[in-house]
Amino acid sequence: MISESKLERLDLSKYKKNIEKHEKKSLSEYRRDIETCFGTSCNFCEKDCQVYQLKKVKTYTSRGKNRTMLGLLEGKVGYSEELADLFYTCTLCASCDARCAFRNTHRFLEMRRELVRKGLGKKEHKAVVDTIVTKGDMLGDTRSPAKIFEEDINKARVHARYKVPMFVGCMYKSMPEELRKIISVLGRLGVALEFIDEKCCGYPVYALGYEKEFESVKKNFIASLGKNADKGILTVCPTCTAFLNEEHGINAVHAVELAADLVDDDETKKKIKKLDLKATYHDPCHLARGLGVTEPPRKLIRSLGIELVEMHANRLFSKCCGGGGGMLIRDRELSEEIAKRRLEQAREVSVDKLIVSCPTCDQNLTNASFAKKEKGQKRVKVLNIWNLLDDALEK
Amino acid sequence: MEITKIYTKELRFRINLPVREVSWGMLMSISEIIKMLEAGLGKDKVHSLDFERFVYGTDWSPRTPDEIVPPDVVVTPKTTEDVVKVVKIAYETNTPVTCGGGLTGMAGGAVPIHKGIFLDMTSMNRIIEIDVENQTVRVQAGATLQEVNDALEKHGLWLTNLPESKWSCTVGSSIALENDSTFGMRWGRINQALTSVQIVTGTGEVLELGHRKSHHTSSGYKLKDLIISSEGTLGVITEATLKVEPLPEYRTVDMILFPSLKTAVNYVNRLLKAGLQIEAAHCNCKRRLNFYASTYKEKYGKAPQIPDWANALLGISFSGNRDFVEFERSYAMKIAESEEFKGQILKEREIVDSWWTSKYTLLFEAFKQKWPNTQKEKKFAAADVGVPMGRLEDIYKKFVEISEKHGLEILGMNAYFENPNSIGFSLSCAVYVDYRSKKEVEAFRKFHEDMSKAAVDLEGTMSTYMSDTYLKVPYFEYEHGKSAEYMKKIKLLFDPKGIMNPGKKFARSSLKEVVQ
Repeated sequence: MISESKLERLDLSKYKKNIEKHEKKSLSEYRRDIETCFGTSCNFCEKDCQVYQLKKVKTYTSRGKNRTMLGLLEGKVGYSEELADLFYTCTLCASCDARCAFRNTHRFLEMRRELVRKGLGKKEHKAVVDTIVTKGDMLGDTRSPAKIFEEDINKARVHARYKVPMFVGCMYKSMPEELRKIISVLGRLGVALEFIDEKCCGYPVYALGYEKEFESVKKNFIASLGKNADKGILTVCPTCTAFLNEEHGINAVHAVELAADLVDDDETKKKIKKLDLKATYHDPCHLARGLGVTEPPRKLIRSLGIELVEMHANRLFSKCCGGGGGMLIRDRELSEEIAKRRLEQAREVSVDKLIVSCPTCDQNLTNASFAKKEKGQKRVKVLNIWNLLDDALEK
Repeated sequence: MEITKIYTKELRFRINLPVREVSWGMLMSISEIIKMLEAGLGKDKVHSLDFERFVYGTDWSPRTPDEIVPPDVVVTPKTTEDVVKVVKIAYETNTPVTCGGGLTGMAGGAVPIHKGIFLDMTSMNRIIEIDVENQTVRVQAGATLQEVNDALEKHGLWLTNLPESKWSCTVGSSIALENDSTFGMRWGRINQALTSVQIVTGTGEVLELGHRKSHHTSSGYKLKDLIISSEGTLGVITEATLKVEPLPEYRTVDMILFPSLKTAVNYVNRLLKAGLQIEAAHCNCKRRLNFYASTYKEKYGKAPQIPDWANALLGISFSGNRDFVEFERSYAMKIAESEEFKGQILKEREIVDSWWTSKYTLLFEAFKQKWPNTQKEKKFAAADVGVPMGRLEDIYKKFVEISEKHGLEILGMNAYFENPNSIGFSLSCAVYVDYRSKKEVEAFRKFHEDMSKAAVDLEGTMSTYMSDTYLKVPYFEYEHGKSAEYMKKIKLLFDPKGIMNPGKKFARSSLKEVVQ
């Protein structure tokens, strides 16, 4: 365990966002909204829907799913395994919401809950849910990150002026190499991290529609936090960050926001070795659309001397990597196809390096970058923002 | 008028009872047809589950939620050969075939009112060839207008036919109903761009109609032109060759207030006389103007500076090289404010930007796209009649009168100038419709019929950008007279069994009369 410290507790209150809490209504309570989509029928949602663009079958768009729900309410459509497939073939990336006045994804989450209530959840998903319920971690890793990374954390404290608790999340817990760099980089930027014996925040359980299971996961998560998050908590996974804010009402702050401020310091600027790179940045759905954090990562990237080239779809209209909503668990092939499309968008602006700030995007896009390419097609290299910071910051 | 009554009855039957008429005469059961389709195209292109079909039973057109008419089966073809296979099966089994694109049509043109097979053409969205030297593009018909422009952009070219639905409206749909285009004043519509079109006829034969990449022909009968606004009643549009234009480097957009609709039209004519090349010109009536003003007030908490005398609001754009465009704009604004027209340039740029956003850029602020919010209780719906330039005030009066007669709240009238470099417009006579109320949806259909008659009486036409669909069936003969019979004969030449998008333009039963 980390010894008591005299470091000043970093105030995260300035990063607090006014985030809309997850809405929970029954399907029939959503009827008016579903009918409004039927009445409007603008179909703006299809443009950025990566699943639809690959499938080209209208049921997959947000309009199509809303229409299906109308069919259920009208008694014209029945529940089936295939209908469940439709609602699980969605990355919950919220690109449809960005082109709409409604939060369609909230309705889709209710649909998933309804499917689980009817025993139509997917077995691949249930296995993950059970792991989270029993182990408190998506991948079944019950070890305490505070213990595993104790040495790294203590090493990083040498440079620190501040301390702050951090919620790592299941994904980065499974990426120790990257996590070590995060600890080290933030330490070099003056912030010592305090890990806790954390339990999964429950997002996968919630997003897959397992409401009863979610209640127990939520209880464990809250208990594991103790008082650590009372004054806000630092995070590195955009999905956890958004979920901690939206569902748990915690001021969770993604570390790129903090780092973007820390590199502004004159002393720190002197310690940055400029990287001679031309790259693009991929906005993670939950960080950009979920939390509206689009400029800090760009500021951070530019501060490293990187020439940032924007893809056509960026910021709030960024396109999904294909890894969200449980897609990666059930349909790896489709997930990879979506990721390949995103990499193609980097090629379109003549860039072969893509920077990510999300562990899921990192894994999914990296895997896709190694997939078989068409003749003459160049590989787009996926770069984790923390690795770049690690390279650029004086050791 | 006896025939009109029969058509009307058939139409009501279709809409209120979305079930297939027993007497349609399909020669096989739908499950057998599905098996044939799956054997011919593969299971992944055939979708027959209830929820897979449901979304295809409606488009943008006003209808109550229980009026969704799902097809029996949906097919997502990849190639013209796939379409041929589908149509041959349909021909063999006497099954209706309706094809569609983005399903944003405003009058139900792609709604499969006789059920049967629905061909979702958006799965055929390949850009086949971009010929930069000849400024043409060859595409599969299911490519959206935006997809075509995304592909053209890197070559400094664009397809100018762009309705507001460009993100989901396909090239095929655009041809099939000849929809409106924001840039019609300079470039016209899809008919100006289309040089050649491939179709699959109602017997499954592939035909290429047109004049390859050349822009004009005086050879042969212009069968290509028959396909424009044919609504898929002659065959399935599978590929198209389109003329494209160099992308302009600069654009200005303004709105001007005028004392009357007539003054606004005369003003546009005056600019044309002066030799200006107007790119887009849209004229809004007083009610539309009030709509813009109230939306502005709601958003910014203050009323825009609109004088009482203003009865028309003209939106206008110029594009090209910056210096030339700046000259055109300043000349146009000078004429607008002259004694001759007594116009006033709208000072609130937010209104101009909002108009242009909804017309062209579609870059609504994230999570704040306005349409769903404005259509929670009622939706916008319109009659798309056309009249000659001197009849604009007359049709406006009729519009108000007919809307009031049917108890429909008026949104307003828009004139979209869509005749290249000459006066000529399409009209949107828009009302609010409570789409949850059967009574109001029915009132809208009556309104549509009355507007159609009024337009023909004013030496105009009942449709300018939605095509006929089933809505205009009752007045088809009224507008076309004896030529309607020739049209039916043409229909049967391409589609002898009357299976292609049946019930659109004329009732299927009326085709039998022609055969007899």
